[in-house]
Formats: sequence, C-alpha cells, structure tokens
Amino acid sequence: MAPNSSALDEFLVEAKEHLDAIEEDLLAAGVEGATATDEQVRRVFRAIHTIKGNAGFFGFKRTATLAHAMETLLALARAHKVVLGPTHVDGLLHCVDVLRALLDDAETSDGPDIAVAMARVAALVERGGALAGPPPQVPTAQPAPPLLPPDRTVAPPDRTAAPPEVPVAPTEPQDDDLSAPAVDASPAAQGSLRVRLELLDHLMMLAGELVLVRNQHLQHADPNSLTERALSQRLDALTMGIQQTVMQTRMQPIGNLFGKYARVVHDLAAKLGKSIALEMTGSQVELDKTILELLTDPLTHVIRNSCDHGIEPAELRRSAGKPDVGRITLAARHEGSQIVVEIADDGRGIDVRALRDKALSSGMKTSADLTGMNRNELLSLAFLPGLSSAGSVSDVSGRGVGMDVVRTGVERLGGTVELRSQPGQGTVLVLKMPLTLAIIPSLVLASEGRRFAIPQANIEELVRLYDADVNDRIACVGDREVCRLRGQLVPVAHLAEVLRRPVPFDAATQAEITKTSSAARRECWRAAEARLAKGESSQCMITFAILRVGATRFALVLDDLLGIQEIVVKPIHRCLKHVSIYAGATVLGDGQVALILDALGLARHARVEFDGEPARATPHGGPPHDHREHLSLLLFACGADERFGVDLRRVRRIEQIERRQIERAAGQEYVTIEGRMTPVVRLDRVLSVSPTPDSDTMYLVLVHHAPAFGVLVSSVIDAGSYDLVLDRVTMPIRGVTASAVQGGHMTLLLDIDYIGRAIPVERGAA
Amino acid sequence: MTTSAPIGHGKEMWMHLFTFRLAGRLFGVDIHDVKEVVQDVALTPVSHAPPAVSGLVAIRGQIHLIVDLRVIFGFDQEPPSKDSRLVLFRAAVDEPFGILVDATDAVRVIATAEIVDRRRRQDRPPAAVGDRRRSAPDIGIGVCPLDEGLIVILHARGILGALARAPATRPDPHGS
Repeated sequence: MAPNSSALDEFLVEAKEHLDAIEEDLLAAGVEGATATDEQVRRVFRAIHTIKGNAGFFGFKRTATLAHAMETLLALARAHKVVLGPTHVDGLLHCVDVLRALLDDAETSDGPDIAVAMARVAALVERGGALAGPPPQVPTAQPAPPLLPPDRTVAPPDRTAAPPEVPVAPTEPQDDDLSAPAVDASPAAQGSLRVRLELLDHLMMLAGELVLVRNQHLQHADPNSLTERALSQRLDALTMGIQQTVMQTRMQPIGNLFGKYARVVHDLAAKLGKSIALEMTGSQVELDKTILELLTDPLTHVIRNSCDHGIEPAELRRSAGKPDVGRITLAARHEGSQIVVEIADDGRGIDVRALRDKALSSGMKTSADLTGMNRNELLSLAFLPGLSSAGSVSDVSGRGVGMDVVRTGVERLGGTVELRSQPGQGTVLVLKMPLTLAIIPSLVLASEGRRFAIPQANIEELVRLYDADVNDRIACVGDREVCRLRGQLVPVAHLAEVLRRPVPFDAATQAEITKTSSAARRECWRAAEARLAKGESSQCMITFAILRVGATRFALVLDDLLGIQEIVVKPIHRCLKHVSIYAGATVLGDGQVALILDALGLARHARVEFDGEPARATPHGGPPHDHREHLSLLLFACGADERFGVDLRRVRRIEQIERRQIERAAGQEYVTIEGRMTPVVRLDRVLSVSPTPDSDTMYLVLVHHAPAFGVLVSSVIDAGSYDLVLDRVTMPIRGVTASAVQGGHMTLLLDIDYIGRAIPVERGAA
Repeated sequence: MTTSAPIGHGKEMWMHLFTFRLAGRLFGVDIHDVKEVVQDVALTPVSHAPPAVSGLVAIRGQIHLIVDLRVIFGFDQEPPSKDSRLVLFRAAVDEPFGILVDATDAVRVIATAEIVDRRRRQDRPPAAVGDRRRSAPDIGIGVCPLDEGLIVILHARGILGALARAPATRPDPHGS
C-alpha cells in the first residue's frame, strides 16, 4: 500500500504531531471561552491541510476525506464566515480523535468509521454557511470542496480531496498561508533530525560502557607517569562530555506530557459539567524520556482528582466568591539536579477532618496516632492506601486508590511527593524527581559475599549498632523483628534471608528467621561481652539501611557498606523480569555485574509490608489486628501495687534524691534542684493509689510543666517505645488517662496536667 | 518452536555446527548463532532466578545471562575446569545470553540428511540425551551420528524458553 515504509512511518509520526498541535490550539481556543484567534485558525488550517495532502499521497482515503471536511470548516473560519466557538471546537476535536484512530490503524484498512465525524462537521459548515448567507466560495485556490451529505461520505472518496499528483502538499504554493511552512512546529525547521530510539539507546549503552572503561583505566593508570596522567584526564573529561551529551538526547520537554492533559481536563470538565481552565508553565523543562513516560499515569490520577473533587461546581464557587471557571495549574521547573512538578487547583481543598475520620473508621490509624498530628501530618493520610477524602465515588476518581499510587510511583522513580492544601483555597501537589534514571547515585553494599546496589533515593539512613545496642535496640514482637530507632519501631528484614529464600515469606518463615536471628544476636552479644571482659574489642555489630518506598519503611540488615557510586542502570534480563526483588543490573568499576535491589520488591518479599501499609509491631498474644497504640513511655513504680507510665516527651529528667533532701513548707514537700524549690508530688496525695513508701534513695521524675514539679518515685523500671492496648474504661481514676498491661503488669498512664493542677501550690512558700 | 530452525541454514545440504562437550557428551549449535567464546569470567549469581541460571556476566558492557545446560538436562553438577568456557549467542537469537560448556570441540560440517530429526519421531529419544529428556522439550533439533558417537544438535533459540520449564529440583530419573 505504501510507496515506501520509512516515508510512511515519517508521515504517521508527523501527522500525529500535527494532530497534537491542532488539539492544543483548539483547546486553547475553547478555553478562552470566546473564539479562536486568527492565528490559531490559520495554524490549525495549515496543519490539517498538510495531513490531508500527505494522507492522499499515501492513499489513506478516509483520512484525507475527513481532513478535507475539517479544512472546509476551517476555511470558513479563516474567512470570518464562521466564528469558531465551543461547539465547533468540540466537533473538530472529535474529528481529531477519529483521525488519530485512523492513523493508528493505518496499516490495516479497517479503521474507525468517519461518518459521524463527517456529519458533525458538515452540520457545522452548513450552519456557518447559512449564517454567512449564500454558500461560501471558499477563497482558497483549492477546488471548491463540495459539502458532502453525511450519508455519502463513506462512499468512494472524492478524488479532489486528495490529489495524488501533488505529492508534497506542504509546498503547494497556491495559497499565502500555505506558502508559510506548514511544518513550522516540526523539528526539521529547527535544524534537527529524527533519530531512531534504539539508536539512541545503543549510544547510551556505549556511553555507559565508556564510563566503565574510564573507571578501569583510572584504576590501572600509573599515577607517576605524566603522560598517562594527562591522557587519563582527557579521557575523563571526554567521557563525561559524551555521557552528558548522550543524556541530553534522551531529554524531552515536559510540555509533551502536559499537552496531553489539556484534553483530559477539557473532556472531564465537559463530563462533570464544570468549567475548568488548565494553565501550564515551564513546558520547556526537559526530563529523561523514561521518567516522562513513567510520570504519565500518576499525573493523570492527580489531574482527574483535581477536576473531580478539587474544583467545585460553578454555583458553589460563586457562593464562595471565586470565579466560575476553576483553575488547574501545571508547573515545572528545575531545582538543582531535580525537576519539580507542581499541580495546583483553586478548588475546595482537602477536608482534613474527613480524612482523619476516614482513617479512624477504617482502622488504619488509632485515635492515639491521630492526636497530636499537625495539619501536614493529617494531610499525608491522603497517601495511605485505600483512603480517599472524597465523599462519593464517581467513575472519574475517588475509588480510594490514587494518591498512594501517585506516591509509590514517584518514589519508585526516586522522587518525593508533598501535599499542601488549604480548605476553600485549593490543593497543591509537589512532585520532585531526578532528571534522569539512566545514571543514578546508589549505595553499593555486600551481603553473602555478593555486591548489590540500592538507589540512594530509597535510602533514608544508614545505621550501625554496636555491642549492647545489638541486643537492646532490636526486639522480637510476635513472629517478627523490629528495630527501635528514635522512638519508632521499624520492621527488620535480613537481606541474606531474602536472597536465600525465593518464595515470599509467610508467617512461619518469618517466625523461623526471627528465632534464628535473635538467637544469633544474643550469641553475638554474649561472645562480645566475654571479649570485652578480657579487654579485647567486641566485634559485635549489625549494619542496616533504613529504606523507604511509598508508605513502607523498613530496616534492611546487610553485611557491609561499600560506598555510594554513580551507577549506570541496565534493564534486567527478560528471563529475570519475574523476580521482584531486582530493579535492574549494573556493571561495577571492576567489570563485575551487580544487581540493583528494588526496595518495594524486598519489602513485599520479606513481608514487612501488607497491602501497602507498613507492618505494625504486635507483641505476643492477642490477635494482630486489635487496636494497639504506639507510645514512648517512662515506666516506674511508686507504691507496692501499681506501676505507672508517663509520656516520655513530658519527662525532663530523672533526679536521684535522698530522703533528707526533702523539705517541708506549708504542708508541701520541696526539693532544691538547681537552686530552685521544686514541689515534690506523691501520687497517693493526688490520686487514689497506694502510698509511696519512704526509703533512703528515691527518684524524682521532673516533668515539662509550668510551674515545675517532680513526681516522687521509688524505682524506675524502663523507658522506651511500647505498643499497648489501651483501656480507658476499667480504671476510671482522675489523673489517669488509660491503663494497659505491659510486661504482665497493670500500668497506669498518668495525666501530667491533671497532677500539676492538683498540687496545692503556694508559690511564695520558700 | 520457531520456523527458523537452522536446519539447512544458508545452504540446503550442509549445516555448520559449533560443537562442545558437556557431561561427557557432544553437543552442537548452529555456528551462525554463536557470537563468541570467552573464558575466565566471574559470574554474578542471581538469587531467586530459575535454577538453570548460573549468573550474569558483563562482556563488553553488555550483561549476559548465563545458562547451565546441566540443570536443564538434569546432568550432575561439576565444578568448572580450566577447559570450561562460556559460549555467547548473537543478539539475533535472543536477549544477550550464553551457556556454560565443559570444553569447546570444533566446527563440524554435517549433511542435513544425516540429522535424525527427533521431533518427527514418536519413539524414545537417543540415549545421548539421557533418560531425562522430559525437562528439555524444545531445545533439541535432532541428533547426528558420527564415528565417535552422537552429536546432539541444540536450537539456540529454544534455550531461554527451556529455563522456565526446567525443574526446580532434580528431575525424576524415571521420567519418559
């Protein structure tokens, strides 16, 4: 069918580019609410004309026929016989869709039917013609296009529509407008050239290879030889130059992506009966092609959300004092080695309270989790899998998957997501992404004598525990291990165990690993203690990386850290694609292959993540899904019976005191601490609990409270993070917020503020 | 199996075989499929990979998957010797990959008429492939009798496909 397949390919690619440009102009014309400008009409006309001519040349009759009909309407518009309003824009957009489908199916002859689109355009032309009086004699040198009735349009096409004797339509010199290069937006006009993608990919691979050769050369070059050193430096500079240039070739303006959303917004607005304007800035910002492609879906999610839930219906907007037309802004800019993409709308904003309620009612968070969360933290609840703030579910969005998909998608690219929202003002989502994925800084690590790489973007911090900490900071809860890190419990996965077991862990596997691992840790510490006693170095240590991907955060135990390197990412072999723990492979400086680990895959395999939600640590006993709250507490005992707990954040410090230090004045006991009289509170005086027995050595727990006071305590038991089932019913004592069983003991959690109020203070007593 | 089986590759009458030894047997592949033979490279083992994957190796910047035919055929494992080589295949065959062989043998030209195409035979396969043929369905083309025994002719394009089918454990010795 085609005279020449590469010419055909070129035609198809170019035609699609023209369609994109047409769509952009049409949407711009539609959004302005008014009419298309002359310039827009002319541009669209030229592009359609080019498509028509080429389609005719290649024998795509229906494409040419439809393009011809569109051209007729546009010719009227150009001659000011028709004013292109929203109806025309919609009709023309419909034609653009049909043309696109026709071009997609160019190889097969059975493309979509063009009858409907033809009818629409013909009707518009007729209406326009009627308005303009007698049927217009289109003032171009084109053969006067007969207005085909819709039923005839699929019949053998009018040969005049696609004159094959004029093979290169854009150069048709008959028309002033047409003599201007119709392809002014095409790359050819800017001194560039189309390159096959696989060629670029190959070039990229070779450049990566060159980097390795350079690395090897640098290792072997004789540092004492001047000539060798000079050569090395030149090789180094050239390699970097080539690498950067090749990377440049893969960069594409983000406008290519943004442009797609104009249509999404236009269609959604029509469907939802809202009027929404899309503004774009920074379209020229360039991004690696791969990232651009991977960004498409997350951005679509966000924009759909904005249209559906963000922008209010016009009447609501009016009553809120906002313009009828909702505004969505897409902005891109460089920030260091990152690209920042902002999606903002001026809609109703996110209802934080609704989010909070949803998180609570769905059991994803407990009220203890939620109290004390600031607005930003509450907003980040929107990223929890399965949580949607939308009151209703529509077919556009609000299915409760979305934001977590966005976050996981972006974080997999090594980026971050931030959500800002003011009620009534709108929502801003900020995505930050690396410029390129092909070369990324990564941590190279060792496990089981093998080297692996983890993208630095996934690494939150690197931790090494020594000696007693090995035993103390890592604990077993249920069948899993957790690490205590600055008051938070982080689930632990052992890379060696993950590598050893190809089947994703189940509870039994996990219990087994936990058992052997904790035994090994105890043994390690026991041996270390023995060595330390003999004055030798302990050699007991454990190294892990805290990884984060999406909502999941976990500690990956590894053998050794080998350093951060820029690695060239290569896709994993097709026979290994099904292995979820790898994201790719790379070649290290010594020419050896190292596998790149996929943080999400590891998390899933090691079962530190359920359904996107990080595992909550659960102590022995009790079903895993009861409402445990994660608390940092200081535990202590006063009297014979009870144990007490105080929020660790309220504890200033603990002072050991002797009985004789306690002084009495006006019926209140005081201890002089740092030269100040500090009231001493005996809990039995303010709460109905057993009395604190006097002994020679006691402790005073000084709390953050104004005025200052200390709680007299007979012994301090522990301090740390606990996951407890809180009981607020059984012990209804004033001054006690809740009770819980910790380590087999009933523990009362104290309300410091209540106790502070209960002190009979006479400030002038001293 | 693809229709481009290399029987009669190029000339109709002759087939150029690159032959190698594995577990005491002689195997051959169409020499047009072979890219190069390398020795002395360190493989990076791949956890969770199919058992017949020996590892990955970078040759001239390209990462190749190395397949252990011993696992696919169910032969006993043996440590590599000084004669061990990697045979890498051309890009036209599949994504970059190669196989481990005990030793390379020669390039032999055989008449296609001499090849017993076992795909057309309903009876039991030749003994050279052992009793465990069940695990190697599509990678063999046929056998060719020589003075020193049989050459089993392998189809390079079928090797990666056999990876997924290779048993995770030692195959059943009483298999068909």
